[in-house]
Amino acid sequence: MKFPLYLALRNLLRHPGRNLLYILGVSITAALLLDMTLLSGGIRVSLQRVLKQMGYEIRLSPRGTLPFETDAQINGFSTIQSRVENMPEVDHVDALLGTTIAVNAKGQTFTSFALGAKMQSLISERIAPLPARSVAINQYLAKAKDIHPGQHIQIWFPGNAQALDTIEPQIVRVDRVLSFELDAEGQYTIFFPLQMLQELMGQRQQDPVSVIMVKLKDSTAAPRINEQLNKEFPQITAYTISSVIDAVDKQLSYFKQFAYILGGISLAVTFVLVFIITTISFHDRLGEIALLRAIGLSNRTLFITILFEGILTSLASAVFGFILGRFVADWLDWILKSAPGLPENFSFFVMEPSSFIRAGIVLLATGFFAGLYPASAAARLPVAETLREEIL
Amino acid sequence: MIVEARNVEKVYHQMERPVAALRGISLQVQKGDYIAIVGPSGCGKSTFLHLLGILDTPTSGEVFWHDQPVDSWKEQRRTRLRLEKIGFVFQRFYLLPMLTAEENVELPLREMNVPTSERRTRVRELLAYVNLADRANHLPSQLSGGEMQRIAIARALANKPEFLLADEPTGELDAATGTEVADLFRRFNDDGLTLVVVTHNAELASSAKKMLRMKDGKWE
Repeated sequence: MKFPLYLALRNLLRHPGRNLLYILGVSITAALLLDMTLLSGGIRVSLQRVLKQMGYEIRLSPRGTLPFETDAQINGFSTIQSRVENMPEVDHVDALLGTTIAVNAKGQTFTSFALGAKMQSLISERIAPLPARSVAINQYLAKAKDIHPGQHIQIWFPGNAQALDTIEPQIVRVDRVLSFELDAEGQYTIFFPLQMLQELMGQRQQDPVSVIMVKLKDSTAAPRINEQLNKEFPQITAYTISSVIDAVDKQLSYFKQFAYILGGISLAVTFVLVFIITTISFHDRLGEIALLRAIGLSNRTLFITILFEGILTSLASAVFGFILGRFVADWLDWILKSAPGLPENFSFFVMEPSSFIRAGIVLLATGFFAGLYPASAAARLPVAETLREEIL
Repeated sequence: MIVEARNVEKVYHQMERPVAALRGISLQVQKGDYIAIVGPSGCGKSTFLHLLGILDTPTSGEVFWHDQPVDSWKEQRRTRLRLEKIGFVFQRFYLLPMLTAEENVELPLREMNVPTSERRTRVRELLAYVNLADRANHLPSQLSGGEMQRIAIARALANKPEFLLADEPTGELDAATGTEVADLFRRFNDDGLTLVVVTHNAELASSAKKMLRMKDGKWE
């Protein structure tokens, strides 16, 4: 193996400029392949990370919907909470209520997301309870509208701009500025204690929430408890982390298909490029290869040498390609993340070592298969005939 | 006897028409022989040399290596025989352009997995033998035609072959360097190496102990 590797390496250095251009060409397809590998699994990995970070094993949303997929609400949260918390495997239950409201601050009227929560784990910094009629706002709202703690703002429910003249505003005090885990970049969010938000919405009686989160004492019990909750509460759908990811995955399957199609194309182009490079290089050296066979280099040595040339071309391209792919992935991620409604720490391209390894193995295999034809042609080269034709 | 061609014929097919390159010729090469084969272009000299060098098989007739018929041998065994026992020199030097003179010479030794230190000693000896010790680290592009052919000759001798086959070794050299190659071959033969040379070069042919003329695939 050492001798063929030596010959293959030296052959690649024979025309350094030309081979560098070849390698850079293949690098572009290698970069695309890596990006598509990252994209195909990125949403799943990123979503899993975000959900795990929140620390709840089970989520309950209105029957047939994903959490926050629609404006549908689950009524009677307190009853559900006490029933679920009675289960011995359950540690505690929390909930979120989300709605759109109209806001007036410093003479400007705009819409904002209102988030009501029973707990504070959605908030980066652990905070003391909010005083009465007080809210917290996120950093994007504070910065964009120049709102400071201590100021008062007017809010309207619902956030229908046409209805502002007919509905009396509520006045609340901004107590503090915070960052929320699930905010999209640039999103305006106002945080309320859950009951306060329900009261301001005039729905305290119905006790509505958008999503209920269940923290278990033992996370391995999640599938069983999930099934039990689905049976016990016909008005809700329960999701474990993996089932919510599967459901989101299904809804975003076009991303995967897009990644697979582009990944497949880049793989095919990589194969064709490496095939062309190794085949041209082989045909350029027919006389030389015939000479090597004549002086006793075995079929095996030459076969492996040319195979190595294909693999090394792919390997070198993978190195350049992965560097390029890394930058392109960051850029594409930035574009995709600017879509509205995505949590700030969500990524479409997650730099997992396993994605790099998977793309690397696929590239090496491509180099291997692309080198097979010229390698076997070299091993089967008719020596005397080739030498005669070379002289003629 | 090292190699024997017994009544060999070789027929090629050009445009689906059979063309006889060799028409039933024989030759016995004994240890210590130095044979030059001469004749007009296209008379079958190189084809015959390829048969003697176990690079090709005859259409009919047989080639023997130390009295063993080699035509039925598997390619792997024939390749090994060429590696260990036969040296080749061609009109075109076929030096690998990305390897230095020294690295070109050591190619057959690497294929034989000769340890590095032994390989380096052998290569140094060979380069000194062909008077190119000072060119060891030069690339082929930095060498003259004569020097390149001498490197190719050193490569052919790397595995201490039993006999050396040369196909028009002076074909791409000027007269003066052709003389150098002729002197070198004479010296090799004096040192005990068996040689068969195909050439148009009268000086090289006359340096051989025996000269054979070929015409239309037969001895004249």
